[in-house]
Amino acid sequence: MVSGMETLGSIPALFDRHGAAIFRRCRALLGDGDAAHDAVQEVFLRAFTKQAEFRGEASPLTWLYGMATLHCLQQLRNRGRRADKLATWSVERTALGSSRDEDRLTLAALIADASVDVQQIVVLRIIDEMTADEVAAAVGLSRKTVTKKLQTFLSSARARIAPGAEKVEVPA
Amino acid sequence: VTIDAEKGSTNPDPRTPGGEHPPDFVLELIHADEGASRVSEAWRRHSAGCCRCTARLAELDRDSRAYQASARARSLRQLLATTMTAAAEAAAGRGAPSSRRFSRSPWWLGLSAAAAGIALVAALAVRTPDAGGDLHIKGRGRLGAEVRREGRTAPWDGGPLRAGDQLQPTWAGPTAGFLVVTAREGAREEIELFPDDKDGAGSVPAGAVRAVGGSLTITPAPSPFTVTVTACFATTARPTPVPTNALAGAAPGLGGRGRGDACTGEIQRLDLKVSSP
Repeated sequence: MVSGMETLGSIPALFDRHGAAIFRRCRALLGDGDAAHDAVQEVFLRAFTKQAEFRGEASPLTWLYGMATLHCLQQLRNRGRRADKLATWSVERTALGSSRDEDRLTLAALIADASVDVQQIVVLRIIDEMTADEVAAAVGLSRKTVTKKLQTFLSSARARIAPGAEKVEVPA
Repeated sequence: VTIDAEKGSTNPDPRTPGGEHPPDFVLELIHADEGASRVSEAWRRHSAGCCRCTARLAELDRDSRAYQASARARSLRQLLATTMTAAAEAAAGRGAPSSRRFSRSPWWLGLSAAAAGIALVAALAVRTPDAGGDLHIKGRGRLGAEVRREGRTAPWDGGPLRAGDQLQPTWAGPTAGFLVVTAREGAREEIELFPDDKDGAGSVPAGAVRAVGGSLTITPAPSPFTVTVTACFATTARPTPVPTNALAGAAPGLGGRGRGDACTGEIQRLDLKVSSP
C-alpha cells in the first residue's frame, strides 16, 4: 500500500525524530563517533537549506539517509581512506547470516573505486537494500537515472569479477 | 541474493523476508514508525515475531533515547531551532524599510554618505560545542581594520573615526577557514560585509592581513556612536554553506537584538568609536 505524499515538518522536529538514526548511519560509515556528530550537524543543516527540494516521494528518513550517505562518502573521500572504510563497513554491515565474505570484499572494493554519486546509489540500493524508488527519492534523481547508473556499475562489476558473468552475487 | 538494477521498481516494498532478517534501514523505518507505507507487511510481521529483530528494535530505541539526551544532540537541536527562528525573522523582515544609518561600499570606491552611523555583525555557526565548550576550532585569526582618510590608508590605530572615513575590515589567520563579517551600529540592523554574495560563509586562506568584504563609509551624525564589527571564523570544511542570514541569529554577543546564543565559531569583535563633527 502506498500512502500519499509525505511532509517534512520542521527541521528541529525532524531532528527529534530521526537524529539518532542519522547518527547511527554516519557512525557506521565513518567509524568515528565524534566525526558522526559533526556529520549529523551537516546533514540537518543541509536539510534546512534543501527542504524545498523534498518532494514527499520518499519518507523523510529515506531522504535524510541519502544525504547522510553522500556526506559521509564525501568525508571518507576527503580523508583518503574511503576504500578501507567502505570495505570494513560493508563486511561488518552484511556479515550476519552469510558466508560470502569474498563476494562482500569484492563488492566493497568495487564500490570504493566508483565515484561518490555512484557510491551513494550503490550503498543505498545494495547494502541498505532500499528499493529503486526509495533510492531515486533519496538522491534526488529519477528512477531511470538511478537504474542506469546502477546498471553501469553492475556491468563494470560483472566484467571485473568474472568476464562474461551475467549477475553479481551480493549478500542480502 | 541477486540484486539487479530494476528490482523494486513497481512495488512499494518488494523486499521480502525470505527467511532472513530485514536490513538496518528497514528496521530504522519500522523503529521510526515511518514505514507504514514503505515497509512490506511481511517484514513487519517478521520483525514483530523475530526475537533478534525485536531485540534490535529495542536496542535502537535505547540508543535513540541516549543520543537525544546527549549534550551534542541537545546543542545541535538548539542550533537548528535558532537557525529556524533567525530564518523566519529574516524572511519576515525582508523588504521592510531599513532603519540603519550607514553606507556600505566596495572597497575604496568611496560612495557618498548615507545618514550617520553604522552597524555590522558577522556570524558563522559551523560546529556545535559540547557541553564543556569544546569548539573544535583550530588556530586563532585576527580581525582588524584599515581606515582610509583624506586619501591615505592606514591600519586602524584605535582612535575615533569621523565622518568621511572609510573602514575596511581585515583578517589574518594561521589557518584557512570560513568567515563571516558583519557590522552594526548600536541596536540597529546588522549588515554583512563578508562574503559579498551573502550566501553562507566565505572561505579565507591562511596568511597575512588581507581585506575582507566591502567597506563602510562613516557619515555625519549629530552625536558620537559606536560601530561594532564582528567576525566569526571556523576551520571546518563546509561543502554546502548555510545562508548567513539563517545563522546570524545563532551568534552570541553580536548585538543581534537577542536573536540567538549559539554561534560556535571563533568570534572576534571590534568596537570603533565615531566622534561627532
